[in-house]
Amino acid sequence: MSLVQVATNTVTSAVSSVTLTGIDSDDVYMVAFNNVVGATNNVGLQIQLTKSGTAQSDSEYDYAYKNLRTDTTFSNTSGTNQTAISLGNTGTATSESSQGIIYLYNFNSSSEYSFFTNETCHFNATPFLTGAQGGIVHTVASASDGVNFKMSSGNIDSGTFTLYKVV
Amino acid sequence: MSYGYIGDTSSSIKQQVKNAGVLSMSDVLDLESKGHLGGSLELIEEQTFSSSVAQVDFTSIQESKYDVHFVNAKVKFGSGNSDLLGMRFFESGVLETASVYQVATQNGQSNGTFSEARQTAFNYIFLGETTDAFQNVYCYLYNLGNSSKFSFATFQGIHLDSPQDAFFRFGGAVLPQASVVDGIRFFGGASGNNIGADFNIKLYGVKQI
Amino acid sequence: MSNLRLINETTASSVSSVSITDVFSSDYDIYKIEVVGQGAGSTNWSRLEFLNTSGSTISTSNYDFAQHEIKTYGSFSENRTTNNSQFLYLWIDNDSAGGFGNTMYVFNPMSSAYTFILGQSAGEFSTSGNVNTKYIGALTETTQAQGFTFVRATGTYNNITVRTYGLRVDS
Repeated sequence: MSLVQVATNTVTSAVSSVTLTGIDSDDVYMVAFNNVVGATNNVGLQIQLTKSGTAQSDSEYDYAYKNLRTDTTFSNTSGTNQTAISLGNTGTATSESSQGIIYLYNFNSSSEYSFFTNETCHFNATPFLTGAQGGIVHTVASASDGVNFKMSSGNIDSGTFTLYKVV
Repeated sequence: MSYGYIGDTSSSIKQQVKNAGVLSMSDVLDLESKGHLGGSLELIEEQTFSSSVAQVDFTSIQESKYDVHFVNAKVKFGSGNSDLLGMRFFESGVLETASVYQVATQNGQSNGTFSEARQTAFNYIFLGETTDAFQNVYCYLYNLGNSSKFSFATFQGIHLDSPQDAFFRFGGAVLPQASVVDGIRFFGGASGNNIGADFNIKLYGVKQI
Repeated sequence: MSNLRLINETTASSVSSVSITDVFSSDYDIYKIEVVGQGAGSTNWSRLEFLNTSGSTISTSNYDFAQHEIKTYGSFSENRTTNNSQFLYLWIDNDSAGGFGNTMYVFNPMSSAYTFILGQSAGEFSTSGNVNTKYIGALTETTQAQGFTFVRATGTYNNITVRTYGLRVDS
């Protein structure tokens, strides 16, 4: 046993969002994504969770992360009551992309909040390398069954997103 | 070697070269020896309990089999209790409780507070803290079974602080003693609170040949 | 069948670098690499460079890297490099202290896009104490990589073991 794939989606033509569902146990889950490029320049790749397959945009996301970056001193980003969380900006060129590893905790619990740890790296449109290392909490105590990725503006042009169960 | 070929001559399989797709024992042994069979995160032990406990010990960690271990933990302390999730190591069956651990973490909260935490002589490794909600953390452990190396850890976690700020912590630690670590304890480090019911901690070995 | 698959395990001793060849292919987009070992001589950082499909080092000045140095004995620091010929500062170690550990992901090495890394490590700096890192990197050219080399900045590794896993996507 190890990592078991639950869902995957490879984007080859523009889509507004990518949803991965199938979380139905108390196990920890992991999302891996790579080569994600947006259709609009310099916009953020965002993540939300889903409940019964529907992305939640309910101003209940609290988050914090440390931004590692090559252009200047590292920065901190945080906020509360967000409708979605931006993991980092991409450009529109092939290599101005996002990749990352996200662990999902307590998603299946009907009585606990849903938690994410995020580790990402992006080459944005400026361009410089940056990456968000931190975590997110969705402060609603009900079961979540997946994640939804979208751009803060415009479509997702390409990328592969995969959800695994850590068994 | 053509794996799965066992010379099936029945008519159920229509192939140029008959291949039942069944791995023979020698196929299995060969693939296993090369590390190509089976998953790469090998579950050693899972602990979960319906009531609170003072600590969670893993005492059969197969330290001679794995250079790298992986832990996924979801822990909270009893209702209303805040505590730091602590980790200590057993060396040849004896729990190390002296102030010999070194730990450093980058912390960040959704209220905008970011900080560094570090200790050069602490009596446990602090993985995170929580009040009334789960501390969720993954942790890599290196060299536990190697008597000539220190035992290292890297980890990242997310939990809720009081009063309900999202709080991440990532960093690393070391027990700077060249020893064999053959067990791991998780417990309430700062206040000795019991780990609450419905915790879940899984210990894996990362596959090696 | 698990989606995390061991591809290669390489162990070496008394070497200044270790190359892992022919491990990246079109079979996977994402790889996980675990490294454990122990350095010899004075404290030093370890570096990473990729190998092209001919097995030669990609040594163009296109490695960008940002690392958070998380020390137990002093304020944390940042290591940022751009347009370098290697990724610098992955982990630190010396032989008077017992070893190091490193876990990292490599993204897109065989695609027609940049190759990215994301990782974390734990090690020791001389007698000062534990140094941990969190890092990201990008090779900002589209050269395909089939393998990689870890290089100790100076001196050698007493021993080093590198395990490469593929993270499979079944579409």
